[in-house]
Amino acid sequence: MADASRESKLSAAFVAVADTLTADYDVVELLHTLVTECTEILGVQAGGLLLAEPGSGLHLVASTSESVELVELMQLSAGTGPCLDSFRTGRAIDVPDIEAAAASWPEFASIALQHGFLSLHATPMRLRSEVIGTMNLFRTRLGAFPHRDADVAQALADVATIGIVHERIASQSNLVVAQLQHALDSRILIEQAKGVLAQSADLSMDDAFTALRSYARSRNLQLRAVASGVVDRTIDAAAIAH
Amino acid sequence: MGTAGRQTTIAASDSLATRLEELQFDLAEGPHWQAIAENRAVLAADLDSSDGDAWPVFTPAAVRAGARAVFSFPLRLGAVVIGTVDLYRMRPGELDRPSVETAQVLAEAATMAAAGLAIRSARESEQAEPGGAPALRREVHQAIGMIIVQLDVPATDAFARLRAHAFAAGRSVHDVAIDVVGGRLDFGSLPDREIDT
Repeated sequence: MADASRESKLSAAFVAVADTLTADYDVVELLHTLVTECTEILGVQAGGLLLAEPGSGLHLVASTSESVELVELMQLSAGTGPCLDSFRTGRAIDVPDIEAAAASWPEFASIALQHGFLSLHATPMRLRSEVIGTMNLFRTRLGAFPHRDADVAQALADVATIGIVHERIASQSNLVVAQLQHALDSRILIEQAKGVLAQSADLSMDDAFTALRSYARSRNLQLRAVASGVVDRTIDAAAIAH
Repeated sequence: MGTAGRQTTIAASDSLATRLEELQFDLAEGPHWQAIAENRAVLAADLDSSDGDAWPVFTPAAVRAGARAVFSFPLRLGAVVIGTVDLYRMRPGELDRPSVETAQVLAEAATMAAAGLAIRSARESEQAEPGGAPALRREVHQAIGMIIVQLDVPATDAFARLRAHAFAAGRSVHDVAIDVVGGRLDFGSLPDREIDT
């Protein structure tokens, strides 16, 4: 990718992430934008973002695809693997050859390789001295992640982390926890809404998610608000599906 | 939350709290039930005032037991209300704004643990699952959404039906949810006698 073109894509990515930080931003939309932008700019094939819930560990909140296979891999990475290690150490972890590293994380490596991923890069989402999650980028080819790309991933993750936990409340730990729980709860609501749409409009779960996001964006509504309306049936599923 | 839709107390700080939880369950009346039904915090700063009027049997019994104020916060998993956190005080008085916020954060923190218990109690032995707590597995919530449509019920009821079916079948909630999402189990087609557990 030519430098000028990559630079303009980078600028666009920062703008896209920062755009979601408006007054009524939706945290799941922010995280989905983050992981999607990173994936496209940095030329990786899949990405997932896990946030920490105190007491119950890491949970998948956004990913580049809703496919069962990717979701399964991401959820597995919450319990074992380099992504979890990145979260625990607060440092980025690069795995240029997943197969060669299989001895460290046999179960994770096995599933990742089954899905065609040969290397990965895990970036911690940090807030001062705390780590609130990780962003994990997967590639279908071998090789170390370029330093420049790792820096970009960290910078975008840092911008998004600020979006999740506003600077001004960062000093109050119970409010930090509340923000993280809110993000997780938003994701749960979205999953419930996907179920309602899948059943009533005969959509796949992937298409249901796409329909929810499109509806929210086209009407300038929060994704969470649309999901809530779908689940309590105040928004007609037929309106979303078309 | 207990099995098959029955409610149980998961934790109580002392004998007064235990007694007050028992009262609410025995009487099927009180702030816990109202908080669940209305999906909002119910704050009664002085049971001796009109704050207590909503519970004509619970209120005098609670006061006799030593409580003068009760605050009940719903525990939510998305749109599903899975229980409440109930706070009691032996003297009357409002809960100030910071305390209300802290209570809500604590309620949300308790939700994951409570939801995990609610789901695990549907089956004796739950194998350790990779990738996070059962309460947060996507299939469970997608299934809840589908059951909402299949039975035309609200989210909390849909979750109760899912748990009841898992309990009756001796299967994990997650396994049943996978069948629902896979189109192999439609709650709208189940025989009525099972639905009325």
